[in-house]
Amino acid sequence: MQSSSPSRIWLVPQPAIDSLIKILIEENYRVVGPRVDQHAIIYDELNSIDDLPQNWCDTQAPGLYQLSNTKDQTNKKLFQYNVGPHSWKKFLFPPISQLSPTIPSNPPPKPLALFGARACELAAIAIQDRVFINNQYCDPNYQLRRSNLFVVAVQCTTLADTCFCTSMNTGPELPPTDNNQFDIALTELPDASYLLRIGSQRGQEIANLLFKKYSPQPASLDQLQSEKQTIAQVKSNMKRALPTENLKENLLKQLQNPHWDDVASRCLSCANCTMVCPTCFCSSVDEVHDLTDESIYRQRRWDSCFNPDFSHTSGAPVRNTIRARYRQWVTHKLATWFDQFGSSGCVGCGRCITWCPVGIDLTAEVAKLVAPTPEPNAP
Amino acid sequence: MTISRSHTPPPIPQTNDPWTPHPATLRSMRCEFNPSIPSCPNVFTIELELHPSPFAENYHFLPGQFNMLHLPGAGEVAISHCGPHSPPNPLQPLTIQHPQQGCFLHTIRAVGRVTNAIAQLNPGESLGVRGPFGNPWPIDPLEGNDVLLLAGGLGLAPLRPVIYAIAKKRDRFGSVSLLLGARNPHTILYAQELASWAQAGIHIEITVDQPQSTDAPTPSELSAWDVNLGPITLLLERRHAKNFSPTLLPDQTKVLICGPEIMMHYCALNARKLGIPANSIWISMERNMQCGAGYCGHCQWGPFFLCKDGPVLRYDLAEPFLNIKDL
Repeated sequence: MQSSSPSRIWLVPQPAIDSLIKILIEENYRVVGPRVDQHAIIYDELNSIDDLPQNWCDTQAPGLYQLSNTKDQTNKKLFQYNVGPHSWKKFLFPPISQLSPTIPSNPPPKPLALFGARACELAAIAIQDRVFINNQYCDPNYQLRRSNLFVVAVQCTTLADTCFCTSMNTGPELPPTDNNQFDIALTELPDASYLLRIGSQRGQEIANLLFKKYSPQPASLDQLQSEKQTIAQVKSNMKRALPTENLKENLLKQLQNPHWDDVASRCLSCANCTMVCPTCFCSSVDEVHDLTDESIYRQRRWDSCFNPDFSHTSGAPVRNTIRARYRQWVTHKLATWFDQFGSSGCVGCGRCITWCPVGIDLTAEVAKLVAPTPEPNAP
Repeated sequence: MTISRSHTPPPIPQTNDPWTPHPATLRSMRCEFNPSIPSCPNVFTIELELHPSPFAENYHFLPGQFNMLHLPGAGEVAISHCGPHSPPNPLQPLTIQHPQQGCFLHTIRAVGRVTNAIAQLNPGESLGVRGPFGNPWPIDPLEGNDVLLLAGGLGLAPLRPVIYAIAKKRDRFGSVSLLLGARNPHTILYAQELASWAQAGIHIEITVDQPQSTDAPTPSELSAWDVNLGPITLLLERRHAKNFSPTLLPDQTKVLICGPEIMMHYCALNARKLGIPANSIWISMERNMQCGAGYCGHCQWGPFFLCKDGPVLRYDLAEPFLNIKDL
């Protein structure tokens, strides 16, 4: 038995990452994490370290995502990518689920282990918890998936051009171990060894199994210093920011701002931003028939406030223009979310900027919307 | 930002699951408007009885709340609670009994996929019920005050249970007026119940926009009332007149408005002009409702999830958003 002190920070070698995945699988978790597929880092089932995106890096910018392999044999890093098009919400709140009749699951679904959640993603999960669990009504399906979740968090040691978590106060640094937001946290050091922190009792239990194979070394001061410097570097390299001060009040004053028309002239209303957003939670329910009409079931699927039908009320959509739909998304995410759930709905992950096909940059649009109006006579 | 994930949450009681529809039997259906007049929309009132279950035993709705009615294969639709049964004979004095547990009315306009499918049902057939959902009309806060109920068209349906709730303890309120607006005399909802409401001490005034839209004679149920001509705001404006009875006491008047958004907007503005404070006015907003629990996102209007923060909103909270187009 190792020390149970949760504040201890251990050093483990890279093969321990493989063991950690396999221990979680042996402990009956369905382990999901980053893999390369379709020229992107996506989240899917992991079986071993070989599934992780070793040597892969991404380049991101408004409307641009490019994956490249460093092909550097000396570089063994697994986590030098930034968040891609997937978020963990696809596991906790699946894009399509059957509502009724409920499907009896035998054996019951395995608990999930998320492998490689970043700080902004932990913040996003906390936000969806407030939507689906800490609500007047609880979503029983979400709660079930959420209740037995195991989270392996990973410290950000790189950043994308589209990141702005610092201004949202959600990253890049992982929350402290006593915040109850992860079970185990990893920091990848330049030599591809790992600092390991334990954030829960269950995390300690899993770590103990790991430590049977890899007797851990306490992290050295140099290693902790290196971690600190890397995070500071990520922070200082972050160019983008949202003007968060009084953003709710400032935005709600701008409901008639002509700039909404300007964005609407570029926005395709394609809904990409809401699909990649780790906190967007809108859904619709359909009745689904088979061809014989013998089986009918109700299916819940992700929907988006960018779809015209989304606001359909007594015969017509209420938000029948792209201007109205873009305004709804932005003012909900950044302003009225506070009224509903006590925080912003944005974690600054930058996905909506990267995956916008026309490269609309949320931070730039908001800055224009809330900028003080110039004096009419100003030059 | 702290989240509680250190413990396994308790199992969810079945009745707390907002997604599960509960079966109910259609006991009766009545057509609200004369089907021989082509311009009248197909509006009908159904009486539902929940199948015996713990859900039915604990079922309790408040005026202003709504249910999601589900027909497998067609879908779901949000319909306001329209209150308890009417007395068997509409002209018999109104004696409000406790409605039978798990039995209630819904007035529905056949206009879309689901409502048209419900219109095809026969008594004895079943449909699914989820609810009741939503923020109700205030009833107790109205006590000791004069009450103005303003209904535009089918907007009378969600106010019907308010009328019955007031009638049940009528002496606790000051003057109670129902101002009723409709397109024409043939589209006045619950016309056969108006006499019993009047007997229960509800003052009723009626106005129509388009009296000449049909050749059919005015329904006999309306013979007891003057049917005015013009928008419903006229009925409010004339309360300015000194000799108008009942006298308007703005600080002691509470106003509940239900109808099309534009009608509620102008009625509220008129009520404000009469000196009635904004926090003494309530409206009932309509948007696409799907989950009823505030997490499918469809019914958002400004900061509100209308399925749980509404449909009934106090006007001073709603007012900043009523002017914004396409919100």
